Amino acid sequence: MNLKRLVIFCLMVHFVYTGFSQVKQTEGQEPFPFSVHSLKNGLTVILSRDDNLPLVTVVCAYKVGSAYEKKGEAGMAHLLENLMFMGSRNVGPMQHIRFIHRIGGEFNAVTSWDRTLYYQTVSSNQLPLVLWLESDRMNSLNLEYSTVEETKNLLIETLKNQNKEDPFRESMLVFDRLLYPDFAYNHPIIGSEEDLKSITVKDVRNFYNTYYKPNNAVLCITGNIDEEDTLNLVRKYFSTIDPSKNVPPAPSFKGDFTQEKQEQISINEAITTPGFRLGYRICSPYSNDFYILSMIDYLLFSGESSRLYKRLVKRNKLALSMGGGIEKRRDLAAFKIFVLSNNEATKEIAKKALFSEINRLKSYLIPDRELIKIKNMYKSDYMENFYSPEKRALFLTQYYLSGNDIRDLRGELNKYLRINSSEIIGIMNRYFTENHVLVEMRGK
Amino acid sequence: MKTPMRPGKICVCVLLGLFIISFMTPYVSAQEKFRKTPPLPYPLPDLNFPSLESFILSNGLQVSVVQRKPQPFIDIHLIILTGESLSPDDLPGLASFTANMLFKGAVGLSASQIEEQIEYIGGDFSVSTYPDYSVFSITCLKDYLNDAVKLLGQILTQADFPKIEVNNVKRDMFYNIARNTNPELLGRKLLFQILFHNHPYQKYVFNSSVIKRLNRKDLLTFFDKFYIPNNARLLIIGDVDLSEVTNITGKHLGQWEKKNVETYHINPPAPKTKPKICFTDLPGADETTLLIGYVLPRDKTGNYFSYLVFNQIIGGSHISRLIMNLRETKGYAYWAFSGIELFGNCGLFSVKAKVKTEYLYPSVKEILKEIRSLTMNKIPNHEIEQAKSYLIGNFPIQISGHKEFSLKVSEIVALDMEDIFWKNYYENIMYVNSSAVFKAFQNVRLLNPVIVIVGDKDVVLDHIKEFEEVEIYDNEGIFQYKLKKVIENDST
Repeated sequence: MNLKRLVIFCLMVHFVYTGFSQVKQTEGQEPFPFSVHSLKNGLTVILSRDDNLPLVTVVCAYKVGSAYEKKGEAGMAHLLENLMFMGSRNVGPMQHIRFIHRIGGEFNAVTSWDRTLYYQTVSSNQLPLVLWLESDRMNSLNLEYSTVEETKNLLIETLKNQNKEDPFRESMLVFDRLLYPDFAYNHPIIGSEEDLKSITVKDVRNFYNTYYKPNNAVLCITGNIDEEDTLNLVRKYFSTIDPSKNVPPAPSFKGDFTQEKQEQISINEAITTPGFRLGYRICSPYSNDFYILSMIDYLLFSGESSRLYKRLVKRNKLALSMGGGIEKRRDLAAFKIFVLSNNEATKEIAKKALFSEINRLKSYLIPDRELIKIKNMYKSDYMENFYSPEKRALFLTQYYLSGNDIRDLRGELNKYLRINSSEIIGIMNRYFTENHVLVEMRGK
Repeated sequence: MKTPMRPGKICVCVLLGLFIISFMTPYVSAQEKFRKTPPLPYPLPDLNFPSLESFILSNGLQVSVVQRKPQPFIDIHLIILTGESLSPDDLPGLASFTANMLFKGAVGLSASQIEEQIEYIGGDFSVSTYPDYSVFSITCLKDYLNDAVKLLGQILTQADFPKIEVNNVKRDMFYNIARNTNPELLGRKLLFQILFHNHPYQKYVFNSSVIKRLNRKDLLTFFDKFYIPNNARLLIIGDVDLSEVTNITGKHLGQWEKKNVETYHINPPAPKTKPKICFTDLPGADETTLLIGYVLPRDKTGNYFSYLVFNQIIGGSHISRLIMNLRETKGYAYWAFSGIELFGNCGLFSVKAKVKTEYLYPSVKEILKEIRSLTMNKIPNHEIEQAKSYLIGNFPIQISGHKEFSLKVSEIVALDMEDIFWKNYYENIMYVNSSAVFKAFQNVRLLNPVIVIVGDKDVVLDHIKEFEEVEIYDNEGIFQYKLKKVIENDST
């Protein structure tokens, strides 16, 4: 090898292993500019500039949630979310929160079935601080015995309070177990007291070391940023964090998601207003049917002029409260409805009225004006996600983590807006069948 | 004898070394130097608000436009410059009742049809009434500005206040008040009632017994008198231009009839001459809620920013003095915060805390001690700078959503605060120093607080015996009796 070729080879290797080279994968033109990059250690970075206000939002998300927990460790993902604020190598316990508070910033974290998100919004001149904090806890979280035990105990207290204060919680757990007959998908994110007690420091460390790695994470930064400067900062703080050699694949659903009709009664003495939960298993969120089901969600539930609100609450006064809509759990989705009534008699009438509204949608085309209305409402809610740095960052992160190709974001909204009334009838007949899941909620 | 290494060989060695270091870097346990300490911030960016452009229609309606591009929504706020303080003395709540009724029907349009029309344009609607004004907010998709303003014009010029909706709105208002068991809201009601006793702002809070006296006839009188274009402001924010707004508003709101508007001057409330402690019973309350309030003068000068910094230091966030003292150090409280509100003729500084009932008396003492200490002494510079840093960082977050932004602008317009808020917000905060805060509170003595305690009587009564005198109210705000401290004679 001559000297010149050796120099080139060494310099190439240097840049590769110190992560000073990124591949710009794609750039979206609509609905707002964004770009996607990846570091050599596998960290995905999404950037989007918005100069309306001098703010920046940083979302650091990991592709792990409660569905990744094994039997006996329910609550692990949520426990780790809490432990992420308890200190890392260079940041003391709770100091992450204090650093953000001192500069007037806001932060939050959320664990769901398949992802855990940490996000903070600060004045844009404080971006280096947030990246320093996030990279430190990705790189070197402190997981000491006393901290883990203390956090477990706090979560067990929270769990006990939830059971005590919410008379409808048990019915929700029953409902989820019927709707999603697989432990990974149906256990509560907060976990169970028994499992939380049995989780050890070693278990938590293993979980952290397996999933909290750059090649299992996405970092999204939006707001008043300079793209090149931001990328340099990201390289500085994240490129030398080791990737995981082996991130286990995402769990797949092991039950039967197309079962027969199931009905059950859940009794809790503290319930004073009876009600019911009704669920329909629907298509995967990646299916084309999903766009039409999203419009049906708006047709039934969105706003005071929505079909079910108008019928059950305003016109017939059969429901004290009601709500519902589509719920996504990784690659599965269900349509859930919750109704509370004054008494057993009105509850039964409410149920009949609800089924009659569903049946009406199976047979009759919805009027054009109503279709335009739900499309406008959907469009409005969808675009609401673009106009603050935090909403935009969460929107981009969630879209990326949903397994969609982020380039598809350009035409995403149109897929919802081009549906027609006939398609609604077809989908209603396909998914809103007799094979529902129903849980009645009663007091004594 | 060693021979010197040839330059080519040196180069090779350096490159090999670089190669090895590069390969090892990610795997060595020693951390990079930059990880050890937090990085310094970049220079503070500018906070630039888009300009507020205004014009007046021939009927006297002042229209203000803020252009924000690109934005697919339009936020429309109609501000009626009369609030609860001008409700008749025997009918507090009439301003709220009128505001709640406005979108409940117009000639040829039922309440449901109005709701449907707003949802059809991808919009939503809300109404709020304050002591000095009411604001009606409509958000819609950009393409429907004309429809939204047309609907607004139709409602304002043809409102018919259907009798069935009068009953529905009264029922909703009644249950919202009667079923309210939120200790903070109950406490706030009583705080307002006592702080603004015999002042028009007292009408901002009213109890459920008033609702049955509200009627359509009084509503129509109030509507005719105050819902007139020359007593209103219209604010439109979004991706619009002035000429488009001029055309649309002229077309749909130009017919709104101008009338003579009476001007009312409301004096600031008289300062309290002695502290007052009040208790209201909330059976079954787990812990005790505490509210402490002082009236501040309305200040259109730089003192406002001194108040903000002061508030930040004492209780504006999770790292302020109150929470550090009462929760972290002494363990008396679950939380303790403070806030500043501005009204047309005065302001309100208040502290709110949830305390462990057994520590009620020492909690009050500590809060008053903190307030006294901050107003009587110069605040250390590091605390001032810390508070300013928080305020500068947090203000843009508070207005980062388009609705939050437009609501802030509507408050600024309604309370005539454009000069202090719109221009140089950051600079105004930066100029505050220890002396400025000290000086501001030399003029405003926080000496005579109104203290409101909300809790379960069976538990709390034992703990309020420490106070010299406590006035007991029921949870509708009706005075019951006074409780005085028993001074035991020493028989020896």
